[in-house]
Amino acid sequence: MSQAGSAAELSFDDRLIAECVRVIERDGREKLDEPSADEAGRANGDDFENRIITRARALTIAGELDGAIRQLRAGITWIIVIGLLIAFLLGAATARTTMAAADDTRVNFYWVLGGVLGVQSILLVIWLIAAAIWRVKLHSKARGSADSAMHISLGRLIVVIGQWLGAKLQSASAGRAVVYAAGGVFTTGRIGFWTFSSITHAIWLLLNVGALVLILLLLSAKQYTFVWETTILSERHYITMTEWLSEPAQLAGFAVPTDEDITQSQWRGHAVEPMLPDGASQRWASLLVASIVLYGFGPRVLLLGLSLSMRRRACRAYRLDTALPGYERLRATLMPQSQVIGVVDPDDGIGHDSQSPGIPIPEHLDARPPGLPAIIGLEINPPETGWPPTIDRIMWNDLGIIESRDDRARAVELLRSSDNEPNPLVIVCDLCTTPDRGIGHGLQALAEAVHQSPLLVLSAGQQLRNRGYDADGVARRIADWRDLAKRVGLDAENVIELDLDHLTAAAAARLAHHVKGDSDKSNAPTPVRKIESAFALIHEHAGRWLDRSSTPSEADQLAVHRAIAELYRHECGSFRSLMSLKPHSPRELLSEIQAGATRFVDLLPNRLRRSPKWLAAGALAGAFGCVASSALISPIAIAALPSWSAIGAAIAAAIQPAGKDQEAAAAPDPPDVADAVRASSLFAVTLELQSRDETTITRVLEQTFADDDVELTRASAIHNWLNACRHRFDVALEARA
Amino acid sequence: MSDLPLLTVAVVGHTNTGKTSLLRTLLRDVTFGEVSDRPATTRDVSGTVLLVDGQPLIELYDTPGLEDSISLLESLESMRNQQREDAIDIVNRFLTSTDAREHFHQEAKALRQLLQSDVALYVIDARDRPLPKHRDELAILAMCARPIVPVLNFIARPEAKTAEWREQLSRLNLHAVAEFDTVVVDEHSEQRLFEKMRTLLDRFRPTLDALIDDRRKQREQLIASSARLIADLLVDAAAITLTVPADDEARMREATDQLRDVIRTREQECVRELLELHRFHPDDCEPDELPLENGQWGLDLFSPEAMKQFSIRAGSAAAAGAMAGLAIDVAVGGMSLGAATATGAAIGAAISAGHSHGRRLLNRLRGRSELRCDNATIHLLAARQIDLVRALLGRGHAAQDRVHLDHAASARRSQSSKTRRSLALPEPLNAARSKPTWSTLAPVEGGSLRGAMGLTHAGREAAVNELATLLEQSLRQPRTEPAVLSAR
Repeated sequence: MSQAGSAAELSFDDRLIAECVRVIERDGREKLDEPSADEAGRANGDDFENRIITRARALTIAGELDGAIRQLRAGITWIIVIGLLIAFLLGAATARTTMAAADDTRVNFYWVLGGVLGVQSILLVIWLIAAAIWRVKLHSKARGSADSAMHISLGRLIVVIGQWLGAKLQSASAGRAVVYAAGGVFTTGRIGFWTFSSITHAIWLLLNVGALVLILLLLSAKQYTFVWETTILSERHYITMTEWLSEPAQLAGFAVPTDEDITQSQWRGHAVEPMLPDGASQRWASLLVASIVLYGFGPRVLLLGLSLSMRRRACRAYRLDTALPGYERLRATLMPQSQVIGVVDPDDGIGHDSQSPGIPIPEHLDARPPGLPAIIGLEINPPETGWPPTIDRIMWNDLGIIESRDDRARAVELLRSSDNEPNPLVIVCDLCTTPDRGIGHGLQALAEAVHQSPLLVLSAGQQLRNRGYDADGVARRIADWRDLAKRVGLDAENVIELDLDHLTAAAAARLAHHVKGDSDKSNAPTPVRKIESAFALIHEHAGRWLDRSSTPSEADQLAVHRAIAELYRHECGSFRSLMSLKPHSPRELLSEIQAGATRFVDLLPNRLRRSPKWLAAGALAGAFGCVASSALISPIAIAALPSWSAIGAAIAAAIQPAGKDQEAAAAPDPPDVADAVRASSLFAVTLELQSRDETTITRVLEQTFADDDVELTRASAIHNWLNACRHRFDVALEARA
Repeated sequence: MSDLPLLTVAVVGHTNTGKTSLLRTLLRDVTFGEVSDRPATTRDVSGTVLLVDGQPLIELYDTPGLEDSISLLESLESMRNQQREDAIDIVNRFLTSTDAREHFHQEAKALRQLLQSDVALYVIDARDRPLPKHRDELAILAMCARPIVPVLNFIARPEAKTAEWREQLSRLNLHAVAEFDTVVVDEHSEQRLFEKMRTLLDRFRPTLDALIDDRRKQREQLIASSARLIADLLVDAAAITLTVPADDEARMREATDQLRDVIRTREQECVRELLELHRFHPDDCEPDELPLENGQWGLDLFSPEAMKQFSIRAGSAAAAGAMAGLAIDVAVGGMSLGAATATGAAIGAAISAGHSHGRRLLNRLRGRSELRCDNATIHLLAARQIDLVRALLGRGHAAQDRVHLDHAASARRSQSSKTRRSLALPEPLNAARSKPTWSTLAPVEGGSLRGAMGLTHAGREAAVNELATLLEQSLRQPRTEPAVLSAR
């Protein structure tokens, strides 16, 4: 109830002020945000429109706006008054001109009538048509198009002149805004239509008044003889016409000419003096006055009354369009959707750094002899490469994957009761799992069951990256796991990150090393650095393509990838395992290409994956790298390479997340030189890094390749770009060390 | 209205499943609480109340995550006395124990809050597999004797195990499960969440109905306002016209640069306004979340590549690169008398077509060129804003990464649809073409009659409204549809 009450209290001017503020904020391109005004708006407690208005009124500019509105009103009023005055004079002038007949006393009745009423009657009909069109359009779909129905009208002219003068006179920006805002309100929609109509009808009304006054003056002061004349029409026509005009006049109590009067009033030239009956002139004069009153003055009075009342109604019904962006943006401030209650149960600081008492390594009196290495998965998905991980020369005591309280108890029991001490105990956890106290508890329980600190393997790093974690995120997650391990008393050096889903040769060797505690790390010789040669090859090939000034064909691209792969020939096996390729030459080249592309895209850091350029480069490098490395093992004929459309489709399928887009994967555009350079350098860097773990590869890739907009269309630009990449590559490697 | 009962909701769940994120998204507040991917980010219970028309309807409480449910359930079970005791009494007893103050203080906070609430929203990270620890958590929550609505978060991720979770939850007799991704929201997910709560909370039906209704209205308004903002930008860009002497190469280049700058700035302003409207604050809270200059979004408006990504066939001028995105009305410099006579009829016809055409012809005769944005650029501007708004409409306020617009996908889509898009503009923009004064970017001589008429011109407002109606249809479509400004 209160809402309706206060909504009615809002005046049209209140809304106008809000509208002015909106216009100022829109055109000034700066917001008039005043905290006190926002506060006032919020405190209003009523509906959104009310709050907007309260805010507008509370702004410091509101006073100025009030003044400007008053000034504008006064200005327009003056213009209207002047317009009305001119209309009055014009009316009088029209009457005077039409009454000034040939010999000053003889006046053609219909000529006068036509002169005074003709034009305005036509315009009245036009107005009626326009009004009808406007009504129809107003209810039609297209908002606003109704306004075109009143493009041309006297009222519009007056308002525009008023606005123009207003804008001229107002120097302050507030004044200008008022002119525009008021213009928006007064010239559009219902208010606009009825405003224009009111002014139009008022002007015509005054014109009629002017004409009437002068005609009455002339009729009082001069003797007129009313006649009519014709060249082609018959007397009958005039009699009928006059009777039509007379009937309403007669009803209204005016004297009207009789049939005889009409017949006798025909002017047949100077030779024939009309024989007018007595009082005929008075009757004609009465009809003239009656016609102007009934057909000119009357309709305008009615329409003016209608327009004014409709305008008043429209003004009263006027509401701010709160969907306008200028208002909608205030909603969050004035009409908050939520309110903060605050902290109700504060953090009591327990457990922030609670160092658990550490693992009380049980003081078993009888130390058990060391047995097989035991492996346990704690809340993990079985790795894609199978459970337990198959590693050369290692035989696991598989305790399975444990999840529930019962599983946990059983595993602890098994560990405790075993005759042999596991050597060592390997606990595999999922990096996607948040390292929380629950997991910590589990680790602790398992660790307590054995004598030495277990080896904690953090798996599924790739899955974590696929969840959208960037290098920092992954590093943070690993650090959190290390923290947890420390809190439950595990040795920090016994926490390793190793993805069992993609158990590459390098990773398997690392795991074996940790499990067996080998001290020599030389079982995998450190590969010789070949990145410079690889980049030189890319530069050379790109130069050749540019000289030919054509886009590199699939054979060209394969050639450069092959040349790079050739450099790393000795590490071919480890590379193929990194790419999860089957050990021997594939029969299904296309599916192999797609697998390679998918794997390479997986290795890309998220930032590069988001860039279409790099996404494509990754897929290209994977596809061609896969073919190139196959060619190293068993030479495949380049001629057997499928056409671009087939390769492209395989690549597109790799780029497109499975099932996300059901549309057929369309081959992207064939790569240009820049794409090929990006793909081959990505391939080279990945090959250089192949002996590292995936996290490192992804991190170095992220730091090496910037998503810059270098135009790789000239040999020198490519050269510089490759140099820059190599530099960043070195920096990234250093950072690790 | 005033007698709607106030509903109290506790948001609970395992640690790091997105409880605070859920609140951010429901509150449309990117600043609420602290969100990270680490355990135990939220360590206290804090509340917010949802208002509709200023009236508090729902109190939401964010609680610390449950971490060690396996041990907690064990200890609760061990507290059960010999005689039959209701589970809730055990919980109450537990809350006064020393365990609740020490080892399980975090869990105790959540349980204490739940006991004071009408319903629990149990947030689940659907990317995780349902594990026994989750069952234990649900068992503990069930002991509090409050209705539980499981909320599956991150269901938009490809690795989400939605079906598996639903199966598991129904085994625990939890059938009213809400799917609500706090990062990727759609039109109905929030409504469905409230509806799920409604099925369990009959007493609060009017409250939730009022909220659902309010949210729907707000969304409509948001779309309408966004459409208005974009329409405003497009009218500005379509209408702006710069006039330069035809044979002055230097001035021409200068004007070209000026036009580009003006339009670029105007676009960024529109982006800023859209972000503000959708309550994402690019500079307030998360400074590097939405770089307008670099990264994906920063792809320059006038590079031919930008057009390619939205698969807009760039005109010949655009293909030339340097002139990308700008069309120049070729000037008829020093016209010979014969040529002038020959074109006389055409001029006569054009002048009668309207004042503005007359002015343009006059410019031609004076040997001046008019510089305007070409249709391809307008389409590109439209496509980018439509794409942005659709992205914002589907973006939860918990989203941490940047708004990123998948140009590659949209390019693929238009490639597969094989439709060559016409570069025709919708009618309101065609109208704007011939009305340079409609552009708020144009240098308007202050207080001139043209200026006053232009800016207050009902025509501009009408064009913006009409265009906004067209745009609204586009905005409502899902993001998988190509972002197109259709001519009709």
